[in-house]
Amino acid sequence: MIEDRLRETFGRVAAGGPAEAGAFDRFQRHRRAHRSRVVVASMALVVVAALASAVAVPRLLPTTPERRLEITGAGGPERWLDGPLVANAPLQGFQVRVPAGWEAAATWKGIELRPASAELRRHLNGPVQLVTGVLGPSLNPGPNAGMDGSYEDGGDLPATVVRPPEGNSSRGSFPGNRDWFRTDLQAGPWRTTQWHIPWPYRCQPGVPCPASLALRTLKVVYQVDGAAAAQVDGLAGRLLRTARPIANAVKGQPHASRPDCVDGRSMVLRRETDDSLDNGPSTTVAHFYWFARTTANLVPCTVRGLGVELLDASGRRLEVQGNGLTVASVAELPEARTGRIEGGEMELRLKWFNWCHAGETWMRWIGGPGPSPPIPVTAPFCTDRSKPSRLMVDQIRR
Amino acid sequence: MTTRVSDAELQFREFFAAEYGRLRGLGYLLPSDWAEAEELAQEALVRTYRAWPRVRRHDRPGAYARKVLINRHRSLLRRAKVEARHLAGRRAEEAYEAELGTDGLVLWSAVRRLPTRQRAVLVLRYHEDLPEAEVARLLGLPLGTVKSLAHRGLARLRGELGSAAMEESGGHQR
Repeated sequence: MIEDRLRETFGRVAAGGPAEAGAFDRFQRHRRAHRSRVVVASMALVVVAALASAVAVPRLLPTTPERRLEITGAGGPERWLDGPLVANAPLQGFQVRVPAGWEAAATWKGIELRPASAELRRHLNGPVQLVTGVLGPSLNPGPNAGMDGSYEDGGDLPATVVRPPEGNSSRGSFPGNRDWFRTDLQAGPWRTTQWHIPWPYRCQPGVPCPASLALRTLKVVYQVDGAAAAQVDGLAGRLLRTARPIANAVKGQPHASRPDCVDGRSMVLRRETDDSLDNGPSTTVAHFYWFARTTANLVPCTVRGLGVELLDASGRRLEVQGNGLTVASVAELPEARTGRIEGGEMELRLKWFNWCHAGETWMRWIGGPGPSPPIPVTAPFCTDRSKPSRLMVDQIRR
Repeated sequence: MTTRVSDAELQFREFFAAEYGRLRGLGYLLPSDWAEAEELAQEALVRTYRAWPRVRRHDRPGAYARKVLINRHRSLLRRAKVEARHLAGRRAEEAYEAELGTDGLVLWSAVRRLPTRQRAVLVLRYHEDLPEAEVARLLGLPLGTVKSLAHRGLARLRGELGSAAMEESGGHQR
C-alpha cells in the first residue's frame, strides 16, 4: 500500500535532520526577538499613525488658508473677522496674529480687537486698539530714540503728536529686549491703559528722515474693568511681544503704497491767507498757505490736490493765469518737514500778483476738508498792465 | 540568583520538549528544508507560548501549535519565501537522507516533486494521521478539494514509483 509506505517514509524523514540540541535556547531568543519586533512594529504603527494623522487630519478638515486682515489705512471698522488670523498693517509697519477668541477689524490707524465672548465684551469699554503712536524722548522706551535732548517736553514736536499719556506710569521689558512703557488711569469702573514699545519709523533709502520719526511706538490702548483686566493685559502683552516689524519698521525695506492723506485722520490740515496770519495785505503779492501735519499715529500718506480758485463777487472765476491751480502731489507724510519743525509737517504756499482790475475779489480753497465757501481776499496791486495776472506755486516746504 | 518559574512556564517547557521534534518534522515535510522547518517550528511555538494561558487548557495544545505552523507555512508559501530558502538549503538537507534507503529516497523524491497542496494534504493525512475533514479545516480548503488533492497525489506517486521500478528493472535488463 502506498499509504503505508508514505507513513513510514514521512516518519523517517521527520525524525531525521540535524540535532535538536539547544532548541529551547533558540526558542527563547526567538521569543525575545519576536517580542522586540512586536514592540518595534507597535511603535512604528504609532509613528505611522501619528504621521498619517498629521498629514491626513488637516486634509480632512475644511481647507482654511491663513486668513489675513489687511489694514490699508483707508477706512474705519468695516467688518469684524474672528481669529485666529494674521493682521497685516504695512502702513503702520507691523504684523500680528489675532488669537482665537478675539475678533479684529481694520481701521485707518491699525486694528481694533474685541472679544468674541459677549461676557468678556461687557468688561471692556470699547475695543482694544493696536495702533502706532509717538512718545517724547523722556517717556519713549526706545534707546535714545535718535534725539538730541531738545525734545524733553515734546514742545518742539507738533503739539498733536506728542502729548504724554496721563496716569500712573510704569516701565519694563518683554523677553527679547522689547522695552515697554505703560500708563494706567482709573476713572470710575474703567481703567484706561496704554502700552508702548519702540517702533521706529524707517524712511526709504535716499529719503531724508526726520529724527522725530524714531519716536514712533507701537501701542495698545483699551479701557477695561477690574474683572477682565488681567485677561486683556495678557492679550496686550502677547500682541506687543509677538508683533513683527515689516515695511517701514524695517531699515531698507520698501514701503507700502500710500493712500491720500485724510484731514482729521492721517493729517491735520490748515489753510491761511496773509490776512488771517496777520501778515497784513501785501502791496504786490497775495499769499495763500496750506499747512499739513501728520497726526500722532504717523500713518504714512500723500498730501494731494490742494489749490486755490479766485472769484469775483458773483462767483465767476477771475481772469487770472493759473486760476484754479491745484497741486496734484504736494508732499509725503510723515517724512515731510518745513524746516521750522523737526518733521511731520509740510507747507504749500501759492502767490497771486499783478491784478489790474477794479472790483471785489474773492477766493475759495480747493481740496482739503469738504467744500470751502468763498471768502473775500485783498487783491495785489497792479505792477504791469501789459502782463497777465498770475496765480502760481510760490513755495513747497516738505 | 534563582528565578522562580511559574507552573504555566513549567508546563510549557514540557510541552515544548514533547512537541518541538514533531513540529519540526512536520515543518520539514512541508517545505523540505531543515532550516525552514526549524524556523516554522520555532515560530509556531513562540505564537503558542503567547497564547499559552489559553491554549494550555485545550485538550490538545499540540493541535494548536500544528495549526499555527501550517498557517505560517501557507503564509510563507504565498510570499514565495519558502521556495527561495528551500533552494538555498538544498545542500544541507541532502546530508540527512541517507537513512531512508533506496525505496524511501525514491518515494521522498517523488513527494517533493508533488505540487505544494497535494504534498501538504498527504503529509497531514498520512504523517499526522488527521481525518480529511481536519486537513480541510487546517488548510482552509473544501473537503472535496482535499479528497481530490489526496487522490491525485497518491495517483501521481504510484505513477512515479511505477516508472522508477520499470526504469530500474529496464536498466538491469541492459
